[in-house]
Formats: sequence, C-alpha cells, structure tokens
Amino acid sequence: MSQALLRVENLFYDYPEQPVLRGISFEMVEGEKVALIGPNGAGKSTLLLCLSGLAFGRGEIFINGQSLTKKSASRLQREIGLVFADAEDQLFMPTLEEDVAFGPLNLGWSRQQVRQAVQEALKAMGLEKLANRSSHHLSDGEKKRAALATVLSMQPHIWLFDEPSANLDPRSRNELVAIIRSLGGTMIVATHDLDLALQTCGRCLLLDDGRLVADGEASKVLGDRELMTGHGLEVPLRLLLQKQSRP
Amino acid sequence: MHHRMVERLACGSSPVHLLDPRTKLLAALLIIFLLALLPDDGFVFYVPAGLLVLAVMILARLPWWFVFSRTLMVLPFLLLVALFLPWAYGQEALWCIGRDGLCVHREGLLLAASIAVKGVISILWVEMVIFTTPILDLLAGLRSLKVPRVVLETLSFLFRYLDLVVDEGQRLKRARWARLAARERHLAWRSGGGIIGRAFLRALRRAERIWLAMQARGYRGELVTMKTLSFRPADLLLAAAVLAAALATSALVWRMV
Repeated sequence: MSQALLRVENLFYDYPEQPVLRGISFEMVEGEKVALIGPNGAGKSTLLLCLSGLAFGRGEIFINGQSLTKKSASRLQREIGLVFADAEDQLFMPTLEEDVAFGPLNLGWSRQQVRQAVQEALKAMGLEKLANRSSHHLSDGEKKRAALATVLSMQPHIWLFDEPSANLDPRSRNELVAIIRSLGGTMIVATHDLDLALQTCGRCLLLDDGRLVADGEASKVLGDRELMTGHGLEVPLRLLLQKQSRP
Repeated sequence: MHHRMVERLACGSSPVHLLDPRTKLLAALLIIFLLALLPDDGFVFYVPAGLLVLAVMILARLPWWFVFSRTLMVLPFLLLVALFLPWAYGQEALWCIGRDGLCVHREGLLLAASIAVKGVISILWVEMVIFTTPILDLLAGLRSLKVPRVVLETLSFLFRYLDLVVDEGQRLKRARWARLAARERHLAWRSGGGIIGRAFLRALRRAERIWLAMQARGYRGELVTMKTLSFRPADLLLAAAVLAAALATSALVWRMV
C-alpha cells in the first residue's frame, strides 16, 4: 500500500452559527482522481478551501505527511493548485500572460523559469496566440482553459477543481474533460456534473450536510440509485444508458 | 467602451509609444506642476507646454476626435469655475447687474480663463501618457516611481474588472426593466439606489473571491509582474525637451517678476 499523499482526519469547519464540515476523514494516494459530489450547501467548496490552505477548521490535513497549518500553508500551497468555479475570479491581471505568470512569480522562480512555464502552460491549453489579450475578451471556454493555465504553470502535485464544467457549452465541456484526463497528478473534482465525475474520476466521495456519506468506486457510488436520490442527486445519464443497453 | 479604445491606442508603435513610461510620467508631472505655479495672467508662458504636448501627440499619431472627446469631459468642471469665479473674485468691476448689484471682475475673468487653459493643457499631458502607454507598462512605471502598492493594485483591478462591473450593472438594469410594467417604466430611476447597492454587494463578494484566488497562487502582499523597463536614447530627448521648456519658462517668469 503506497503512502497517502493527502490525508484528512476528522475535519470540522463552521461558519458563524452554522456547521459546514462535520468530521470529514479520507485519504488519497498519488495519482488518484477523486470526484467530490453532493447537493448544494453540502460543504464541497469549503472542503476545497480547507485543502488548499485558504480556510482553517478543526482537525488535521496532511500533505505528503506534513501537517497543513496556518504556519505551513504558504510552503505547502506550492503543492496544491485550486481551480475556482468562476474563471473570472481567477483571471485578475490585465493580460493573460501576466495572469499565468502570477503564480510562478510569487513562488520566487527566476524570470527564465517563469517565461518557460508560462509558454508551456499556454501551449498546453492552446492559448499561445491569446497571451497578450485581456481575459475579458475570451469566451467562457477559453476563460476556463486560461484559469487552468494559471494553475498548470505552477506545476502542482494536487489539483482541486471547483465546479469545472459550470457555464460551459457541450464542446467546451468535452474539451475540459479531455484536458482533465490528460493532466497528471492527483486531483479532486468537486462537481454537480455527475457525467463529468464519471468520465474523469475512478473514485467518488459523496458529501451531504457536511458529512461524508459514501466513499467508493465512482461507477458504484454514482450508480447506486437509492443512495443518489436519498441525497438529492441522480444517477448519471451515461450509467442509466449503459444499464439499459445491457441484455 | 472607451477604455478599450484607449487600450488599442496604447498598443501603437510610434516613437512616443516606445518611450519609457517613467519618462512620460515624469515629463507630464513636471509640466503640470510648473503650469500650476505660473502666474494667472501669463498666458504667453502656457504656449510652450501646449505646443510641446500637441507635437508629442502628432508624433504619436493619436486620433484628434478621440483626444478632443476625452478632453471635453473636463469641460463641465471648468465651466463651473468659469461661471462663478468672475462674480466672486476680484476688485476691478467690468460689468454689473444694476446699481450695487452683482459684478463681473477683471481678475476673476483672468483667473477663470487661466484655470481653463491650464486645465486643458494638463489634461492633454495626462491623455498623452495614458493613450500612448499600455496599462502594464504604466503600472510598471508607477511601481518603479514608488507609487504605493494599494494604488497600483486598485488601478490594475479597476482596469481588469471595469467591463465586468458594467456588465453586471447592465444585467441588473435589464432585470429591473423586465419586471416593470410599461406604464411604470418612467419611474425606473426610483430603484436606481437598490441597483447600485446590489452591484456594490456583488463587487464585494467578487473581491473576496479574487483575494482567495490570489492567495491560492502564493500572493503575499506584493504584486510582481513580468514587465521590466529600460531607458532609451529617445527618452533622453523627451526629457531634455521638457526640461528645456520648463527652464526657459521659469527664466522668463523670473525676469518678468
């Protein structure tokens, strides 16, 4: 059994007078791709914020065996890349190139390293020609790829996606699925798009009301009609079609 | 959007566009400072500053209609000054309404005209800098001139999110319009305060999310960019021209005083 790259132990997080996470515990090994599903308000986005060292609750988070605390956050954040639900929030610099360079520059890389990382990230996302454009001029699909490029340039070990397919048309969504599948590393994809969860992840965590209610193989968790409807979700269309087509 | 036009203009390739932003910023600041110090009745001294900025604008191939339309934006402020100053300031009455009534004074008229001319020339210098310098270069220039970080970040985010705020405002306006019955539409202005409030709350929430996104990418309080600046021979030329104009004007004023 390989050592856990990410370990969460009994994590609690409260907003004023409202508990959001109630004793979450799980582990992930290197290279694992995990879907995080659940109804609205289940605590998915808050869990991602805690995992990326942007919010601190009670309990423990270990990344590569090191505890994620306020003190260690700036060091361990180098390992984690968070892709926000709304790409507009992530693209805050005047040009795309400056946006993609923002992370590596803050990590203290040399100009040469930054330039190379920016070029590689833009090329991987097919955005080289838009490097000097303002993000406002990009389509929603391009903005999403640009947001991915801003994280890709930092070369994180763990990717955290918050609603990656929100506001995307089918073509952009399919491009995104292909990109997510091609990315190396460990990742957590928090999504309501259960087909995307099935297409990109081998394991699935179901969160409801701040509690982890299911953890298992993606096709099994997502295909459990009783479990899904019991928590305000549906079996993905892809699985239903597969079941129907079986003799 | 006018700022998109400014963005396009700023990406030109004229000799003025290629100047270091610091040279343009310092030249504009020096001229504006000098203009403010010149006597109110010394209109002849405003000529070099005016001619120099016009020459630089011609060299930069800026479209006159756009420069003119942007300069017109300061007119309401200048008109306000021109309207009240001649009545309120000075001793030598030129024209009065009735006996012992309100009078237009010579000194007030001169001061109003002086403020108008100085204002227009100063605005032209500021426009010259903004219309010939891409925002990233401008920010890098301001940073290198030690402008406070919070000012730079505010400028940068304003540039980036202006379109978004306008779009959100338009969406709120459309939503309000869609819910008003046709005969009530002339009363739409009443809910303007609510729209501004909601737009402010949305902006606040977005600001919080942007802050998180910045922290997630290692931001620890200093906005670092790829941009590097360097002075070229042409920068020395503009600096020398501005300094010569400034010194000549100062010498003439000194001699007159």
